[in-house]
Amino acid sequence: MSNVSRTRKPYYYLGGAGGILLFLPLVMNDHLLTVAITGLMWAYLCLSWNLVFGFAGQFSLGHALFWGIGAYTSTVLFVNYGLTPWVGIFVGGFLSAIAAWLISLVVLRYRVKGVYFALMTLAFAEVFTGLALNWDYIRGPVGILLPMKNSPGNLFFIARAPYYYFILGLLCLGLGVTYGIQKSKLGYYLKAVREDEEAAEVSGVPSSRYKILAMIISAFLTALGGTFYAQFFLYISPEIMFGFGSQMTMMIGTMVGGAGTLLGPVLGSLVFSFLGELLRSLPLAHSREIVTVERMIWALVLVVVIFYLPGGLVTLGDRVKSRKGRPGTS
Amino acid sequence: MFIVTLNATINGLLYGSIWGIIALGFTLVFGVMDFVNFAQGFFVIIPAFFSYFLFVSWEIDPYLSLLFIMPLSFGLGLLVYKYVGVRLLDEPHSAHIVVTLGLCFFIENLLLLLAGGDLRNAVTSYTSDTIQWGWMMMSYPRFWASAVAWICVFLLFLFLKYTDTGRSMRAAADNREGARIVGIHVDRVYLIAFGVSVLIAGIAGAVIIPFYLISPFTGMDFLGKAFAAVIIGGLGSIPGAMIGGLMIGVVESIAGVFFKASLGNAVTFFIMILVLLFKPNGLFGE
Repeated sequence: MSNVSRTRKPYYYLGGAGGILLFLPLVMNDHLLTVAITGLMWAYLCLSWNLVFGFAGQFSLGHALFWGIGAYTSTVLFVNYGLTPWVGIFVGGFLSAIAAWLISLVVLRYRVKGVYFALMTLAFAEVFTGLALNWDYIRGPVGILLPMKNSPGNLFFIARAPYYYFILGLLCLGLGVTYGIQKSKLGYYLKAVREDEEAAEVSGVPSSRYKILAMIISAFLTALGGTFYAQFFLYISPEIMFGFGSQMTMMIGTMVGGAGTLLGPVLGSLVFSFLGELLRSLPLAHSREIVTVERMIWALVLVVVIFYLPGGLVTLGDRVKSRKGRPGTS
Repeated sequence: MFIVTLNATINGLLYGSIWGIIALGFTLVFGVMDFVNFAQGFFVIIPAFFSYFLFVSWEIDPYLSLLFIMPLSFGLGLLVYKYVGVRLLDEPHSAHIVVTLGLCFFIENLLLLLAGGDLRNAVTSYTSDTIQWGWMMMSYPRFWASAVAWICVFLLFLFLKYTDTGRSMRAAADNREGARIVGIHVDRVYLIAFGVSVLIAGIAGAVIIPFYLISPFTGMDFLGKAFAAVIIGGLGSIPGAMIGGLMIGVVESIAGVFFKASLGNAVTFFIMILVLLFKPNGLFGE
């Protein structure tokens, strides 16, 4: 078997999966479609977070901040000034990118790294939570309720399918950006910086510039996801948007799927959506407690994967192959 | 107003002692074995819930429940170290954070499943008592909680300074390989350090329950306070953790007087960011 067909194979699968995804809304009912939309949204957010954690090796725990900025910007602009979220989504993205740029400047200027970087980004998100809770202009702890109506010009739909295609489009954008970075010089530079920053600097890679770039791109993408959340779920509050919950979901999906890979974050999130749905369809499942149980399973899966499959689920295939005694054939 | 501020300061110091000992456990484990334990907040919440249910079901006073909670917490610490901590020692910090956050998430939801999301505290006969002394007024249970916290600090100090285990702990903190070479059972020392850190958290949980409203989500708040205290005081420094804790207590309490209480957290984290930027080793680190 030639090397070429071996490396091409995954893309056939990818194409097949894409084709199936494109036609899913035709066969799914509203409930399943909602599950699919939520799953794709988290897959997209995991991809965005993965750019900073997986590729640049910076453990951001503050991505809820970018998510929240995206959602709040487009929503406030729409509710207070009637600006269509089609534009607001990009305004949110840019504001979020600016926030990421400022935070990165501060972080890199003072050489905040490792655990400190994680705590620092977490602290920024917490400060914003506190401010959002006390800022009457964005309705403080009450949150903002968006109208439920059919208005494609304002990115509101009654039907589920448009949302589905919208998030699928975003996911493709996320995959495209990730793939582009992976294959470009930026990807190699980031890899060098992630593996050994000093060595990279010595070889002439301006590590700060690339780390900032990764952070800005990631923040921009995350903010688009925030606007999507607001448009789809129609309610945002400081706790939902700036709280730690979303960050936890991004982290778990990415780590379980495989950080630093193209498809890992998507795989991780979709596995969890599937597991959750499976759990809900069990005959005994008819209570709110199912969400709690679902999250406990997430946590368990996370810990088990980190311990026994540190590369994430995407490496499962390679593992199985090498167990069969065909190591090094690729 | 002056007196109100003074009383708020005293109240903040009382709270701060508790945040201090929660941070103490975190910093001890970090200092001794370079382990980042994001689950520390939940090692406070679990015993707090345990103590609460002992009180509600059998009217066992939270302070009396310390008798059960201390050995149980220590045991919990040993178990967590044995099955989780020890596997992570040679991994990078990000792995510590991810796994302990996973643990947080598990415990949070387990508690939610078992106890529900309501805020609750153990309403004892002394919960709303106050100690009045001239213009000075403090809450009775907070005063005693803080007293217990300082006893813990004192005992920990004695333990680290004068016992063999404590001394080996400091040796292992300074130089892991060196300690191993001179014949210290480093693994055993780590095990005990982890147990002690969870034990301290457990004591904090039991003494806080008569006056502090908790729910499964409060674990994350405690975690945030522990971090802020530890960063402000200097990661790995034991006096730093206490001083950081006291500062947070006072800042939040005073923020509650002049602004809204819900801004307290934001102010704390803002100070933490400033400290990280200008004194990355903490205000009292070298």
